[in-house]
Amino acid sequence: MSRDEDIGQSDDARLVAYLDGELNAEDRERLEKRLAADPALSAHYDFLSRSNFAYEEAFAPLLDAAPAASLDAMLARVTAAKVAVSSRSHRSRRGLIAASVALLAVGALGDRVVGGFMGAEGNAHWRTAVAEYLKLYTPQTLAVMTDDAAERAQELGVVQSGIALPDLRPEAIALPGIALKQAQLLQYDGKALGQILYLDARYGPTALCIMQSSLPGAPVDTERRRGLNVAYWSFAGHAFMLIGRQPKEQLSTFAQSIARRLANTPA
Amino acid sequence: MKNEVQAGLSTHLRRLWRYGMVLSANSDVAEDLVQATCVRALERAGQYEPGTRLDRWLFSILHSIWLNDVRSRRIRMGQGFVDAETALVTDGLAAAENQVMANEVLRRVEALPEAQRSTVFLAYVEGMSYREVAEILEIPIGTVMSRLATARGKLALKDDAR
Repeated sequence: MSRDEDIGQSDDARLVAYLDGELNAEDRERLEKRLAADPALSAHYDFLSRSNFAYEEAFAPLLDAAPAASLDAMLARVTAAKVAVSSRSHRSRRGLIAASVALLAVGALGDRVVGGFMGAEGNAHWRTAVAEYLKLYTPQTLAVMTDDAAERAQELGVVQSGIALPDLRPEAIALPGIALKQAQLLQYDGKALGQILYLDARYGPTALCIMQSSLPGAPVDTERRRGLNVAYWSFAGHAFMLIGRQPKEQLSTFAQSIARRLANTPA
Repeated sequence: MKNEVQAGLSTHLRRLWRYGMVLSANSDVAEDLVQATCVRALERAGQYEPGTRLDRWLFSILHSIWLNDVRSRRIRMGQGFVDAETALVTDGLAAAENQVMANEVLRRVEALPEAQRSTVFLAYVEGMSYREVAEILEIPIGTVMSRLATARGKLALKDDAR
């Protein structure tokens, strides 16, 4: 802050600006002279300076209380939505998320979904993203898809080469009593993501998702994300996750079965 | 520019959320505010001038969303606000139980009317200059000064005197 004309205000404002180091040299000097000569003003200055608290420190715990993981996931989502929508240039820029959600819901997101899902926080973000996307699927989304074994096999071939998996035969990823509905290749931040969709008559849409990963192999573990159960593992340079509304135990059994079959695939 | 915005956003999320908390005293609203800020920042990445402080730009986006969208809508819908007395202190308290003074400062700041509260927060917690605060809040510097002067007068008062 510079000149008195700009301030043009009370002594309070001037004193506070002085406390905050926002007065220029000239104004500062003038005020200091007045303070030396005017006990009432000086007393008021003392009073105002009692509010020189450690504000930054006081608000630090609030920074620590921020839901960092949730915010990071949100940003990844928003960034992905933004890119998805940009690729369809005529779409309205309002409701970015809604737009990308709609794209996903009709299974039309064959192009690019970019985000930092495999970033600093390791492997967990992509699972959150997958969970959020899977939540958009209803049984009806998948029910309209025809059950054509030849088509599925062809789709799986595309996914297989996209994520550089040695073999992804239908029999390796089949689930007992659950229909295989679609296999498609998505993309996250330059990395291919294979998504295999099933429709469980009892528990609804279920997905097996696979990405290449630099993480070491890990056995099947389970977790809950966005209200869905997840069984995940890594093996031979790939991260896998099976996600759905089935009980964890069942999902874990399925996952172990798939893991075993894929591991036994002849190279 | 766009990449700079995209990359920079992640480093400021927590600070933006905290500002959202200071404005709304509601963690859900704060999170929504940060999300809307991210969406708008990505939409308008072309307007960001490289070399200027990205965090300042983001704070001003968040503030204008708060002012124009969230706050007005909440008031229109008659939802009002969560009792400001509770939220900040409760959240801060868990991490700072022994910081009696720190909590007292939080209490005093959140007891301020919104205009003074946001000005105090940006100037004294975020350490912004008067000019930066004025730009973010879209008010004249003189108003920043008078808000801070009034706020300081209240903050300086002891509990029993208020």
